[in-house]
Amino acid sequence: MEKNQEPDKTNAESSPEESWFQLDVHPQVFFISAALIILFVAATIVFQQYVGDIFQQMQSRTSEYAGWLFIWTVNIVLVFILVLLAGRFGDIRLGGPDARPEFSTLGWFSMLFSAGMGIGLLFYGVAEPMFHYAANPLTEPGTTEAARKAMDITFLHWGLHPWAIYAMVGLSLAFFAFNKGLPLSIRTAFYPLLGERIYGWAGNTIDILATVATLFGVATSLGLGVQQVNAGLDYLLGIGQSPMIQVILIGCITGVATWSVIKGLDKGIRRLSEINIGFAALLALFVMLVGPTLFVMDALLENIGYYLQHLPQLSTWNETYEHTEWQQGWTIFYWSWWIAWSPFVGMFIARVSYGRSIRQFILGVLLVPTMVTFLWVTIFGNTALFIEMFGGGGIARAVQENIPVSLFVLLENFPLSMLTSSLAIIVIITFFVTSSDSGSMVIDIITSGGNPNPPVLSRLFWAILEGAVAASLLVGGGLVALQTATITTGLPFALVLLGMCFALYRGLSEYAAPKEIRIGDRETREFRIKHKPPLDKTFGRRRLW
Amino acid sequence: MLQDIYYQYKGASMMLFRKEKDEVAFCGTAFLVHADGYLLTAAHLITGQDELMVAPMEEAAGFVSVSAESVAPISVEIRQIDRQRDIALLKFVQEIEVTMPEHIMGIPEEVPIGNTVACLGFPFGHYHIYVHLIKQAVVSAKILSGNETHILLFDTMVHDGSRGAPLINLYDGRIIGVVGGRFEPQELMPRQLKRSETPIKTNISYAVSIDHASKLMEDEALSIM
Repeated sequence: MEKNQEPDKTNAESSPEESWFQLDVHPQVFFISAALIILFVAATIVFQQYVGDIFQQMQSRTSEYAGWLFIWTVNIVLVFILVLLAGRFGDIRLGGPDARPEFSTLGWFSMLFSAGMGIGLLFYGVAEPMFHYAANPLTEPGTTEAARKAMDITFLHWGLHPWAIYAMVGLSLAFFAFNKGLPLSIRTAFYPLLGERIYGWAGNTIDILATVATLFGVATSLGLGVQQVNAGLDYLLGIGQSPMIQVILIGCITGVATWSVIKGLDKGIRRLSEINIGFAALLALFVMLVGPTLFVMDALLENIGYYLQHLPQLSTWNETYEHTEWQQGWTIFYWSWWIAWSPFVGMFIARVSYGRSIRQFILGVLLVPTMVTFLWVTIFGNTALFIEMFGGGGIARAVQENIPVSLFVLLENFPLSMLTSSLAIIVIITFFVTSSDSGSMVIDIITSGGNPNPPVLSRLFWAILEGAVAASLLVGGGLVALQTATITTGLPFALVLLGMCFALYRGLSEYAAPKEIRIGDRETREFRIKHKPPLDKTFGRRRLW
Repeated sequence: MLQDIYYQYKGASMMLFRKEKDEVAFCGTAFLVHADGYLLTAAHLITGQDELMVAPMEEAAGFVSVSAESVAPISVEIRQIDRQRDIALLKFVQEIEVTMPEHIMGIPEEVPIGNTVACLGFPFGHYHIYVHLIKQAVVSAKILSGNETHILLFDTMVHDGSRGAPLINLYDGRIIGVVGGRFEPQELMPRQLKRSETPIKTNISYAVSIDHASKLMEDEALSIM
């Protein structure tokens, strides 16, 4: 059973020319997904209003009635992951005891961070603390306590819980694929539930749904994101905002992403992710140095301390006694958002984590990204809070008006704003490219039936389709409708997550259990044992010494 | 952990006998290393002309009798032998199905000094006491012998019957050596010094690194498990 499906580097990655024309795909999954996507896009554009309303209704109903379930799920997953980190399975290596990592630690980390958070963090790092500072159901707005709580809530939404969800999905897929020899695909997560049926129509359906959801998730983010980029560019350069510019932007981003996907994981995606993280680090460092450095340094420690002290309290808070509906729009939205993204991000993390031990995996996917996120949110959020509380103000208003622009408003408060704003634009674009190429990579792997190095032609197809879908929805309308549709998959997948915890634990227990060595039937006859200690014959000097 | 090691290897570690006419004489321990029916033991236990047989421990729960008048052994043949390294590779003569997990060969190179190990053999077989016995020790040193063989020293006294037993890394449950016997410092003493007649007493024993066994298995065109 324990086959080691080593991601074979010699396959497509090193020689794209040879495998260019091979279209080694899973026919049902590939073609039905592609057809469904095109159909869906057409239907959404035609029945825009109607589709939008349906999914909006579904989303708000699930938040209203299943909020508690989301909160349960994310907390269970976090506790489960922490137990795995500390527990006896920590030494199990993904890919078997002799597997070694495919990527350097920095490259690995850059990739998973770029795929996992990326763009949202850039905008919400500034915007979210501002929102909570201006209004939240826990404290009086605008007070010192409000600032503290604002950072705490932001940390909750971007901290341990989302990364625990990603780690959970990633770990399940990686373990079952690399250690148990199942295909690297979403259907694999259902193996403990469905057994061999994952190879039949049940499995195909799951993979098709995952493909469609991932593509729409990435494409709608791309479509909505370029509007934000356009808003930023307009604010900086006054070039105006029009679908034309946005479609050109989609074209550019898709072009780079396609190049990166075709170059493969190591030569394309890893490099871009590293560049991306490099730029982001530069921007953060700059803001920290020219901004209120001391305030940020003080805040980092205090925010983390406050978050850890209040984690059990805030993460189980369900606004029961407040009887408000604030949480639906924030916490529950985030939880269903992260869960809806988790098949895609989890799959990508699984793909790049071959050869890591479970302990390394959890440290790398849960703790390190959480710390980096906290650093980022503190640098941007606390700088914004500083300006709002002790400086000229104006950030909160800018956030209310236009979230993407608020980042640039923040940067304007400091010297060299033209330079930093340009750097911010570059970071935004590279983040888009990295989430776009990792999204395509995941879809490629799924539609090729779980091949960790999918054929180049299919990589090309999905990368381009993604851009095309984003552009069509942008021009035809329906980006928000389809994005909402993607988020509604959060509820069913929350249940799947709980099932996965159980299945993974069982799988690990079975895997780690000692396996008896035994010999089968044999022909023998009885011999008398000789009554003479034959010690003399075996003693004496050995040549060894 | 030791329970797990015992559970995993109790069927793998077997008594090694030499056939003498219609009787068999106990020589030491041998253990399974490959699903195709291959076993390893210490080369100095066997002469080369002997007809060899192995007998697994009979499966029994609870407290067991350790005496036996007769045994039902399986014939094995010598496939590869390296007297310089004191390792021999044996194989069942008949086809026998072996159930065995992958990854049982460890990497002695990566085992740190101080690492806990276990050895599982039949120490008192020469005295007609057939007790299958697990012992715990730590890797005390990793040294080169006179002929540059990789040797693991460990701090427990093995008895004569445990020679040829597996030395198992407690942390990953993989075999890292073939037990050779007690460590005799005089063997490594500079040649010009005078040796005493009686051995120096130590509770240190040695095992030959499993690397050397891997070479024999490669010669036999086996995939290392």
